[in-house]
Amino acid sequence: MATDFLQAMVILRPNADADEVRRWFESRGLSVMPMENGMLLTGPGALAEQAFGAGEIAPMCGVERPLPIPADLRDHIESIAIPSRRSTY
Amino acid sequence: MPTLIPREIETSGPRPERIHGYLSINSQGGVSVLDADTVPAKSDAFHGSSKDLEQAIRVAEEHRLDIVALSPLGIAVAGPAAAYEALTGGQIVTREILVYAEAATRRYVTHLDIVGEGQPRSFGCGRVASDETGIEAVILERPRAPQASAAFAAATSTSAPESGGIWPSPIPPSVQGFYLRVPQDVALGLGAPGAHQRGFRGQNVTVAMVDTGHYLHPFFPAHHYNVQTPISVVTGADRKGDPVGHGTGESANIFAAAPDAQLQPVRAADDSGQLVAALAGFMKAASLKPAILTNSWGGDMDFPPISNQLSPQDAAFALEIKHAVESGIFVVFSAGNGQFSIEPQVPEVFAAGGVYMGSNMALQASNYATGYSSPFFPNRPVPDACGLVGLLPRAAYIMLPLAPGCELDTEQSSPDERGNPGDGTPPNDGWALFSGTSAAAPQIAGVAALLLSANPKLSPAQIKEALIKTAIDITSGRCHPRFNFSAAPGPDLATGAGLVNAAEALKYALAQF
Repeated sequence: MATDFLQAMVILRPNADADEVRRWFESRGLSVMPMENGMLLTGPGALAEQAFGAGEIAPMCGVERPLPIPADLRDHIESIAIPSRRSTY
Repeated sequence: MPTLIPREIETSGPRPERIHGYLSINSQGGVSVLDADTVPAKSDAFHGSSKDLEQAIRVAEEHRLDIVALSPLGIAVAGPAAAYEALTGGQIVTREILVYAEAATRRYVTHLDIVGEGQPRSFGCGRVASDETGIEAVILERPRAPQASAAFAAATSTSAPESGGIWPSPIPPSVQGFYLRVPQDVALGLGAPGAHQRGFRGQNVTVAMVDTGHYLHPFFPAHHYNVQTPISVVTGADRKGDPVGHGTGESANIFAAAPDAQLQPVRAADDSGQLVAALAGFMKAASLKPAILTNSWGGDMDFPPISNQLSPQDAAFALEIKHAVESGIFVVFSAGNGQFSIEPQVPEVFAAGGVYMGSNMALQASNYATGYSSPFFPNRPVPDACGLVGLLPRAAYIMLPLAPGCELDTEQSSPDERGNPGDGTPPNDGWALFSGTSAAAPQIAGVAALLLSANPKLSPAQIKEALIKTAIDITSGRCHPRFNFSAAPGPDLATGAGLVNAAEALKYALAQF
């Protein structure tokens, strides 16, 4: 079952075309927040799962959950992962 | 009628997707319903002509308003705010108004108004922008409460609202045992009254807080605290809701220290209360350029970590946090309640730990709070210094306001799975006893706001220096058993520099910078 809302962090390769990566994810309905050396994707879990062609991709406690890099973006992306679960203290 | 708390609060809150309203057809008697002083014995004079009624139906349909029902007087319609705005040329805005609601108690309820040039002063009413519409007035539905709602009475039976009283009450309940009240006891423990007496109360300082959301509890308007309309970064989540109560309650700690600060809540939780967008919330909050950004959340990794190398994702987020501080934002993160997470370890962050102040004001390290030396950043102790935090097992320590019946309201009122007793409050009264380093971070954010209200040019590093140099050294107690460091004379890994002291930090900042 898709998680309602997901965030995933994209680490770009040194010479990546960040605009192309951003457009690719935005065209699949995900929001993109630029970061110092990558970008943060946010959006409904179902859309994220479609974009990555993955099954359930909910965050886990203590460890990041790596996601497959879409074939179109392999030249630009070093890694993609769902950050470990955060909770209130 | 005068009220002890503001009757009306201006908000820029979200508007409902679908608004119900009423289009009054041009009255054949010549007096518009907007100008009528009384309701006459017979309604005939306010009936519209069939020609005007047909024209009004066409206009409503052209504006994509759904027609719900018709009468000789008018048309009940429903549609988006934009449809009403196009029809009237005005703007639909929200207002929180204190009204008698269920079971004769008073609470804030969101109302809608049409404002703009040429719009009538009557609340919720508008005039159409053009002639020949057949419509003399647009009237938005006001919220109606069910009378003597059995469901409400049952839900609130244990908190026993008094007729005519404000619900939930802005005044905290009294329970047995020692605990702190906001604002007074928390302010006292932080040394804030000395700064307040000098006229520094956090004025003109914005504190953003990323958390589970913010519920408009009457506690906040009763104290005239300045809470901006929350922003949500979670698609579909109610900007004004807080299903957990954590963000609402812990934010009261900011105002205990800095009553004149402006709070900008940023909701990062979904409707189940899971903090699904904490990183996005942080980045959104930082993009707003607040003076202070406080965060009472984090993750939990292995301690000691398997590797001293940060993952690319943790490194990337640590860079974002550094960048926020470099852009002039004083960033506070909770150290954790036994958790070990990357955020408070970022050297530029102010890591907030916990000190317990007893009934005689004796101080000791809180065994609920995390303390360690960062394995990722050399010479980086966590915490830097502390706010007021309760003790194991539950840290039920500060009486804080939250949404009635929310997760924390219910949970804290009940015994936990180990049989530790509840907090003595009803599960649906809008108050609960809790704390954790989640309380310490907003307290320290509030103290930082005091310093910035005295000198807006202070840098994050200067604020940090003032808080650390003037903290009260803690020499007894131990931090959370997972880390198990002792408090000792001088800086230590249990409490950092000790308990922050607002009055002394203010003196230091004014003298040194």
